[in-house]
Amino acid sequence: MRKRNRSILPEENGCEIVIEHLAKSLGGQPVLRDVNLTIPPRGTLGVVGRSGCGKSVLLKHIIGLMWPDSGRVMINGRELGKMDRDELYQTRHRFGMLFQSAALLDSMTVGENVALGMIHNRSMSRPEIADRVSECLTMVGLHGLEDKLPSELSGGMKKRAGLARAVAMDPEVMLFDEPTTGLDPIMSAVIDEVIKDLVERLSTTAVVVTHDMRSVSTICHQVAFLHRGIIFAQGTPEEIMASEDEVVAQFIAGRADGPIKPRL
Amino acid sequence: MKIRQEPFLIRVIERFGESFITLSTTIGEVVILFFDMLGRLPKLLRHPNLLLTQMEVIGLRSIPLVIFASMFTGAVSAMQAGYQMEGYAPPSLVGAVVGKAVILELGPVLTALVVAGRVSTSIAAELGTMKVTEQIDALETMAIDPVWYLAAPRFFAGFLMMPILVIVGSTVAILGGYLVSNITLDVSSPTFFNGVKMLFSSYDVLINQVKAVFFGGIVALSGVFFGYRTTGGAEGVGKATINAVVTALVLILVFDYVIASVML
Ligand SMILES: Nc1ncnc2c1ncn2[C@@H]1O[C@H](COP(=O)(O)OP(=O)(O)O)[C@@H](O)[C@H]1O
Ligand SMILES: [Mg+2]
Repeated sequence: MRKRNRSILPEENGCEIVIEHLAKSLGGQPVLRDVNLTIPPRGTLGVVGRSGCGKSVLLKHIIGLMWPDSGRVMINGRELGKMDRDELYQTRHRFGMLFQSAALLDSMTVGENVALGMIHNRSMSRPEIADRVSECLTMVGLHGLEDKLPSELSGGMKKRAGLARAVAMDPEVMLFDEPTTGLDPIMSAVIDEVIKDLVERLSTTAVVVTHDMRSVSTICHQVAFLHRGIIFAQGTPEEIMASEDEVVAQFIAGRADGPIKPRL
Repeated sequence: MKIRQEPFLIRVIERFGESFITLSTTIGEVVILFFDMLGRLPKLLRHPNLLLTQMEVIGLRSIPLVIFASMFTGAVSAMQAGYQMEGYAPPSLVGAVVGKAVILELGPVLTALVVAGRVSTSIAAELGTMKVTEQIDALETMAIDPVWYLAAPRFFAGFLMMPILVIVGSTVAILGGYLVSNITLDVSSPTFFNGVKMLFSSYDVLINQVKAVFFGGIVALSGVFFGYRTTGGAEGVGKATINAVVTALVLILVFDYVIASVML
């Protein structure tokens, strides 16, 4: 695989992300109330929780698409909210994000979407970019689909194209919002492998929002369970799976009855 | 039941106050966006492709519509001038009247109104859709500044192309007036164009172009502004589009009056 030519020293490689007392209300409703979370510079953190509990909102705070009402997000000791635009963009160079909706630019082909970041932020020649685009698309099982428009793809294919775009620049921090939702079980397993391989090969961080407990146990080193606006439980997948807390146990087992009362 | 005066009055004042605050914050936001885009101008000029593409989309592709609308307006104004002056003034004055009316008023206003209908709406709908489908957020995560990439090229393209469109529109309108005078009023070509020349002044052309510059800015800025702050799905995009075109139309008419009263 490709060598990366980073100018940064090895010990600076990787980002430590610390979230402190993060609170955010949206549409008059508190979504995140007091989130405290440390994301280590290596390994994969799974974020699980019920639909609508604020997982996507949390991810957007980490990359500065949303700003906290109170509390802060620290990246390598620098507060995200205090950075000026240049520093924020410099920081974002180290991130790659897959949106829950894939968020492909629909006026561009799949190939152009994957190439976009490299065209604007890297001094790479056109053939180098084309090679890298092809490599990334092959990795997610979309070999040769460079010239398709996003509107010509299925939901799962869009997701994978979004994944290829997120990892195209070898980010140090990868934020994946439900990477396997909408994929068939075999493709889910393939994508899990891709994520696992990237994290190991680049020795970086991934934050993976997921509903898929099987992916959690295959790819995550740590799991955080977001519930009622706080990190309700955190631990290794084994610890979370074995949790005696009734709320966690109900979520893991996926039972309708228990302390969590789904509002119908 | 007795109507109590005070609460009603207070309510009215409150409503006024609220509208005033909303209006002031909106104006503030527009001004911020304007200066944000102005700040991106140097970078935009260094990579002119984005700007040139939008100049084509917004400017060149509006030319057929502008020609169509101007041709008819010029024709109708000549017809009406001929009708109104019948018996009072010689038909040779039709050229003078049409030329003056087109250069000072009809050319810029009519061109701006039809271009507003085409361009403010398309900018607002395009940016609005990108906003609600997280495509603008996706650009942010790739450290591509959306103000530079999306907003500024559209704004400056509208700003630069409107004067050209107004020249095209004014010329075609005078030609339309000429055709009608020549065919139905039996005004010969030299008579018509001598009439146009008789009242022609370069100061009028200056007014024509000052209006064009302002109208171009208004059309593009309202599209960009309302597109950029779209929220809430397809309905939100619809609202943004309406807001953009209504604001553009109203401001064109208001500024037409303001410029006329300042410059005449
Ligand atoms: N832009 C927004 N405006 C208003 N409310 C929002 C917005 N984004 C998310 N929300 C609300 O925040 C809550 C959490 O959303 P989200 O983070 O998308 O949940 P999930 O955990 O399923 O990813 C939901 O109740 C949602 O309605
Ligand atoms: Mg979500």
